[in-house]
Amino acid sequence: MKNVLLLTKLGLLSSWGGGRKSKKRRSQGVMLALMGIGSLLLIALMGVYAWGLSMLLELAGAPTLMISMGFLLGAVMSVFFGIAKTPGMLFAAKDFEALMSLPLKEREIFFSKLLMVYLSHMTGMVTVALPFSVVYGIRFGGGVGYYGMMVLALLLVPFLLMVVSSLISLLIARIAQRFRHTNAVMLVLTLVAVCAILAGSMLLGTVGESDIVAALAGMDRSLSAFPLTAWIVAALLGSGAAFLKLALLCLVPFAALTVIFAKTYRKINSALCERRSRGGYRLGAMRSASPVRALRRREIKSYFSQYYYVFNTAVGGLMLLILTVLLVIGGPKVIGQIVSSGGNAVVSTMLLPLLVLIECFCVMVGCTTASSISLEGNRIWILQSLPVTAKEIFRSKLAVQLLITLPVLPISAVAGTLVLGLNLAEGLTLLIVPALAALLTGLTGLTANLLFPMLDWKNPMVPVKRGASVMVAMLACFVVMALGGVAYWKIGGDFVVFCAVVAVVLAILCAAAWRWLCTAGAKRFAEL
Amino acid sequence: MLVIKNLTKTYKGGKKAVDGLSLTIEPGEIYGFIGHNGAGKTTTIKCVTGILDFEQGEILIGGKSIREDPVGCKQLMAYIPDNPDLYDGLTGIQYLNFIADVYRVDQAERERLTRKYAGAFELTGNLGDVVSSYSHGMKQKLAVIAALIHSPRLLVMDEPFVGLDPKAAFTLKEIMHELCAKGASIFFSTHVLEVAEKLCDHIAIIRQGRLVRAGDTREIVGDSSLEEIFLELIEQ
Repeated sequence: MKNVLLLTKLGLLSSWGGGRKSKKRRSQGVMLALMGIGSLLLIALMGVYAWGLSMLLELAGAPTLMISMGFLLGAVMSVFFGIAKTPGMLFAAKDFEALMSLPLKEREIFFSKLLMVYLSHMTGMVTVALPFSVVYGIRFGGGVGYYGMMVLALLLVPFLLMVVSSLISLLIARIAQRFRHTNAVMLVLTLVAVCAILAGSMLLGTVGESDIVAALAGMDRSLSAFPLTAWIVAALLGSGAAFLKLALLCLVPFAALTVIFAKTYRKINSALCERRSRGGYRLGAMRSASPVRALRRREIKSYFSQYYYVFNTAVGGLMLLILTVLLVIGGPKVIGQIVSSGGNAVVSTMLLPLLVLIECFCVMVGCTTASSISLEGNRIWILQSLPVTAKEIFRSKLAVQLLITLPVLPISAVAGTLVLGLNLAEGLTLLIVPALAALLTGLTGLTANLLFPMLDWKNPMVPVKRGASVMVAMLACFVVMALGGVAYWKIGGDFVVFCAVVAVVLAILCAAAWRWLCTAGAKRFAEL
Repeated sequence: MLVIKNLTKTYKGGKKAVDGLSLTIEPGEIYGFIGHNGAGKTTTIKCVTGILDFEQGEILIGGKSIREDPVGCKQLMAYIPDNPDLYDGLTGIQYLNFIADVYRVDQAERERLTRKYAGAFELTGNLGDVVSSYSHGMKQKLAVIAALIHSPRLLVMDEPFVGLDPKAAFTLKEIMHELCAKGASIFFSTHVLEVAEKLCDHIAIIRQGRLVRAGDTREIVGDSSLEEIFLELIEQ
């Protein structure tokens, strides 16, 4: 047990950058504090949302749906992120070989990894299920027993979620391993899973407002028939038998998984780590390209070879694509339903501004450049020793950002123009403003990454998911977007004219950011 | 080919990694750079290759200043680090093509040199596989081939023989002689003093960032061995 806790502590420290020099530790401490505050704000936001929802559910006569929805949404969120995280944490982790060479039992290593996976799955439960359940307790009466059961359920459910995401990610990894282009296959399989979850979530938001009460009641009936949610609700409401069933449902599969994997952990990892060079290549013609094209090609190849990187940054483009399809199928009401989640219909004059805002959100939410320099890691010597300028390197990194955002915009703009019956000028707002937003996002990401680089990572997921530059870039972009939204709300007027002004402002910001990159940014790059 | 004048590099905290280092490498020379761990060898090499900036001094490559014309200088040289982390997602041939593209090597020339050096290092059959599947030695070989594919005028290497099997190490020594015969210069650091003694025309010994001895290898070694000279100088 002592070794398990020691290994878990080591894993958490290395994930969060512990053991660094004091100055870096201080900035890491600040980052952790900011993340903690951000998490608390998110939980509070969920609580506010849950409070609003509880009133609707009370009207629908389905208050216990709060608990079901909270746990189900928390579970979906945990599994959603778990599919990408669990492979790296549990199977074929970078420290597997180092740990296996130490005088430690296989099961001790396995249990420490399992504990880290468990803690990561708790995030979804704490972020969504906890505020939903607490709001239920406050609104509909919950005593000590209720809250006690709530805590136990929150601790139990992640065990089952771990089983689900472990099996899905192992399946993906095993399927992918059979193919030569392992990363490409893993990427496609993971993105298919993500598309399914995103499309499902968006479709959930399109429930007709007049049917909302009936839909909620129907949802309550469906979830009551689903064992997991039914037993959670019954357990929280005081049923000991339901709690026992829930405990068995969560712990028995987990115990089975643990027994099987603990015995075969080394075998599974060795099989997954097998990446021997096959040989047999015959030298053929070698095509040449310009240095700029070579840099761009290399960036694109590197991007698509890291599936967690794609998984974390391509979501925005996917969302926009799915939204475009829904818009074509469902018509203008889809915009209002997605934005207000089944609430009041949106005024028709607001449809275009909302669509532009949604497009900007989609292109800004996934920023590849914010971690592109960090991901060079120990390989940065290659770019620094090549006869290329920093400007050329930055252009190649920007190319990836534009590749995953720009192609969808013309499709979305044309669909939006046709569905909303817009004129040419209005249609162009759907193209130009988001395109400039995509460019600004890329430039902001690069700037943030040069200001907050993280080159000494052991796990490449760390700079992608937890790098300071990623958070700073996202925050900066959302501030710009929010300012634009607030400005239109306050000023009003002709939306096309407003967009023309916004486009000019965005272009100026882009030019300023590029100027900084070419001067101070290039200097910073040389000093990395 | 390479002129280092009074190079001084200080890290944060005031520690001088290199202090007033000066040396000159002529075309066609193999120049060895030896010193204890933490002496400043890698720092010097990284300053020469433009990876690290420096506070004082000057570095000229082919008459061009690394500070004023870094791209021009880098066009003339190639660098092989001691532990070459390469792009795991690319295949060996893709990596070589990438380097050749950046250095603007024409198609015929890159095919010829790839065939030659990949054959010499027995890596041809593995060029179609991703770099992540390579062993450490294979990555080292790939880094060497990538450095040679654009026929550099100055080859800078940081402990190039680490990780190479005996045959590959022998092949690399032959290639070094071949390059120098064509007028290129080689500047490399090593801990293997026997290799430095046999291979290098000139050597420089560095201790705590300062040059303690530099010159013709035979003159420095004399009747003794390089190991004895080195230990004597380091202990003084």
